[in-house]
Amino acid sequence: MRLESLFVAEQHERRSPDSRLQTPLAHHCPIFLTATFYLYYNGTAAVMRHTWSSIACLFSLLMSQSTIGFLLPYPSGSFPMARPHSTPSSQVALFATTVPRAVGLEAIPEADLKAADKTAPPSTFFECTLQAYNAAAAAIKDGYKLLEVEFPPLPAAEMASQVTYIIRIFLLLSWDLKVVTSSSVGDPCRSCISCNVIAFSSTPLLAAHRPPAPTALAPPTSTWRTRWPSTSCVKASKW
Amino acid sequence: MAQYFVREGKQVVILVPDKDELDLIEEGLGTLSPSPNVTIRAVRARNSESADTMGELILGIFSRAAKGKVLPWYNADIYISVISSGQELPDLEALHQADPTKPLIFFNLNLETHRGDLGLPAFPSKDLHYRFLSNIKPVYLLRTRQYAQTLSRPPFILNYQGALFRTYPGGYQCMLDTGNGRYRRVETSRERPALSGFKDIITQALDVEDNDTLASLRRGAFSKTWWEKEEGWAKESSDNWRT
Repeated sequence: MRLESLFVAEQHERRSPDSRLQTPLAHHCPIFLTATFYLYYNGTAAVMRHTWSSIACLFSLLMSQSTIGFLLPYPSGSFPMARPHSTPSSQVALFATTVPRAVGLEAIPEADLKAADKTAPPSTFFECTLQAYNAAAAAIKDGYKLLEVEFPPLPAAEMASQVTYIIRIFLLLSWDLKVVTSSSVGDPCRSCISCNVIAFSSTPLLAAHRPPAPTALAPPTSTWRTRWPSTSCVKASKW
Repeated sequence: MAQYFVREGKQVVILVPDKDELDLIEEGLGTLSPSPNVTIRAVRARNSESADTMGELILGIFSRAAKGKVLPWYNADIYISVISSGQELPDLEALHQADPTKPLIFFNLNLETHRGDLGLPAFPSKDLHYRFLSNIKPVYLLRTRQYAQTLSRPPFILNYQGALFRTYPGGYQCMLDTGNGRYRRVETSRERPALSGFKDIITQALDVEDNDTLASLRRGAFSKTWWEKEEGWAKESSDNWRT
């Protein structure tokens, strides 16, 4: 673990755009490795305050580590770089692989850039998230790893009302069409799309945050009423 | 947004700053996996979970390590960081260093505000911008600003607003709000305009100036924030943040 820390410290000191491509110093130099272990065991022995243990540690270290260190060849660039740790530490890069460089805007066709330049701001929250996703996906595809997405916050109630509004409109439409097509006779208002929309729009949920009404659900015209003659609703007849 | 990435078959990890925030979210949502392949995690795990040895666990109680370590998540394809403050940006930097191949999205973190906080007491140093924040690419930016202009003729005070809008790979669009939720594109540039530069562009688009001298006096000295000044560009590790 301490050796890892040394590797990390060395990597941090020499951090540069190409630092991930370089092998740690300890792999280049077995003497450095040996010295590291020497200091480690010597320090441990000092804590133990035991002379014989210190000597034994030092002797075993010199006999084993130095020999193995000199014998193990780690020439420059030959050490395998992708080396996942079994117990990953937060300070150690998990996979010291080469991160591909981003392509940059000059690699993007001019036509695509001009088209993107003319993108209009979103008018709804959903459009906003979709645009954000498309932009992030395009940047990831081009090799960028650190991305910023920012747009003005919307109140949670606003988002909830928009979602609920759309869901309820679809539910109402499906229910009404089912009732009308089955020619069920009963309470006329239960088979009237317009009345349902009116009743829904007057709910407290939409009273505070009412999104613009869809054009398809605008008050019916005379043409609309002739198309749906079964509508005998009092409210609808007033329109 | 995470759902869109999930449709591509990716595992998304939404990152909150620490375990306390995670507990709050779990209490509110009832789960840390709101949908398949979307997981909510803390950037910094608790010391009791991240300590490798018993010694670290014990020493961590009395030291800064008690806050835990920054651990990457092996199964993540994309990280989306939310609600992190300026003090937690170094944690995100550590996460990116530990797992540099995974995209990390800073989602509505108000990095511009955090840049302004850098260097203040209890905040990271300004070097964080040059070292790390300058690498962050603004891929989607919609920032609205409100201004007021004084005039020498009625109505004397004119309130107006504009928006800086960018969708990658497009340029930075300076847009003037023309009312009813509509915007007029005033200028498009490949380089991110400075905050004061954006105001100037929007103000000129109003075309209400009656006297150049008075206008310059009202505007005051042209100034940029420290991270927008050209003198600091040499220290930046990347120009991604302004291109």
